Amino acid sequence: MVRTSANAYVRYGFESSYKAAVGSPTNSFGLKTAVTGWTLTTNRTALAKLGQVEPDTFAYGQQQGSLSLGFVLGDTTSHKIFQAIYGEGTDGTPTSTQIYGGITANSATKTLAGNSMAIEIGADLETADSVRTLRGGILNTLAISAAVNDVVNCTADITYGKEDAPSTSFSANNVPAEASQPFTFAHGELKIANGSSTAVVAELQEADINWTQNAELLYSLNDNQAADAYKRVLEITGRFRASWKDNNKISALINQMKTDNGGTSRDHKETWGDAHTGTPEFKLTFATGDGKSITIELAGLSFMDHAVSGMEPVEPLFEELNWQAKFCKITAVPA
Amino acid sequence: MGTITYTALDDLINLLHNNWGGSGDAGREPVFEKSWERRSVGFGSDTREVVFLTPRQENIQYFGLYGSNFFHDLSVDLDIRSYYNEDRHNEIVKEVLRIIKANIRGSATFPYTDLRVMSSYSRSELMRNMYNHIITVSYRKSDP
Repeated sequence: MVRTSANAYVRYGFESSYKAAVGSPTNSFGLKTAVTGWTLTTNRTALAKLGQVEPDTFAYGQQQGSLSLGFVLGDTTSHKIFQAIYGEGTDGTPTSTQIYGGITANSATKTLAGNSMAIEIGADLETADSVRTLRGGILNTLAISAAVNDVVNCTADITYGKEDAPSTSFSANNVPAEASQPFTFAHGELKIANGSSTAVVAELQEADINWTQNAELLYSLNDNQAADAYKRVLEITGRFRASWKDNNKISALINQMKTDNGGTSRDHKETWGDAHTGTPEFKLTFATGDGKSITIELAGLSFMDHAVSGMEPVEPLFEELNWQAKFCKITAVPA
Repeated sequence: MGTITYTALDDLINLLHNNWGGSGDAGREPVFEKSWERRSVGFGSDTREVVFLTPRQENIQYFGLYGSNFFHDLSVDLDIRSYYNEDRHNEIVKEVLRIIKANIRGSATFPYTDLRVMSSYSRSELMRNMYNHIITVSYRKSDP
């Protein structure tokens, strides 16, 4: 009889060193966790032979896996995934608060040491249970998306360089505890600097943030599994769509961030924060009514393009900004 | 892992009761009652406004692998009935909507995920001696 995902689970932990075993990972990605894509390849090559048209033999190459996950941002558990980008969180106030990254240069870890992931996916199957352990997982991209009338959805794309032989030791006790309440659009608020402080971006329809680590697995001779992994440029990009209220943001693009306050100053400005003082430069908060929150602060914000939608009969006018930021600080209050 | 149908009504009644009058011109607080607590309605309450709460569909969504979580979305009708005049009826409807909008996020006291107005319409044209307005809200909570 076919089994459904009601017989499966996913849990993860962080490895002390690349590919090191994690005895019993306990982390849950969030609510409604779904494995939306999962592939393991050995990069097989077919070798041909002179004198025949059929392949002569097969050779096997690098082992590489990719795992795509979707989940709903939970107020208690989901913040832990930021360790894969910024390293282990530091304690804040209150003591349950975890702070990842910072809004100055060199806040993100430069290596994946201690921040690679071991992921265990178990399925209670009909004939033989399957518990697969993926090691040396690196978080390629993490995306958070909030839209009106929806929960806050996340996706994570992970590449891994080693998979252990599957086990048949499935246990329901290994299902990770998930005590979160979901964040929804009703918990979100976006603020950006307005020249003196920060102002709420009102009538916000959608807000997305994406972290792309541009990380790669490193292989070496004498092993088909990855030996290590390394990080390259950390890209923090996103967009938001809100009611089109004024020329503030389109002027910033037209002037290439140069300010034009009363026509007296048109100095070169690099970022939104250079042109419009106020701290934080960009702040996206998800907060429940009982004190739990995840706050994402950005610095070095640069708008890439501006789009207008709804300029047709009966439709509301929205402006959409695509942006990139240099630095990010995540503050999670999970309890 | 139960239902939110009945606790949601208690939450809504307490929420409306605790916040009534915040707008300043809301006037006397109506009676908030679950619809089944008064089997016969009509002339019985024509001296005081009433808001009847009726739970409708509770959509329970499977929200975690291995059946670990469930997300509940309950639709509740708030049936507002008043008997004086249109101005007074308008005040009550506005105050109910104000309270719901101001409490879209749950709190420690009312630990729901969110509370949203889904529809609002008048049924007064059907009545001779009563003003009637229906507000439908969505009350969502995970793992009650």
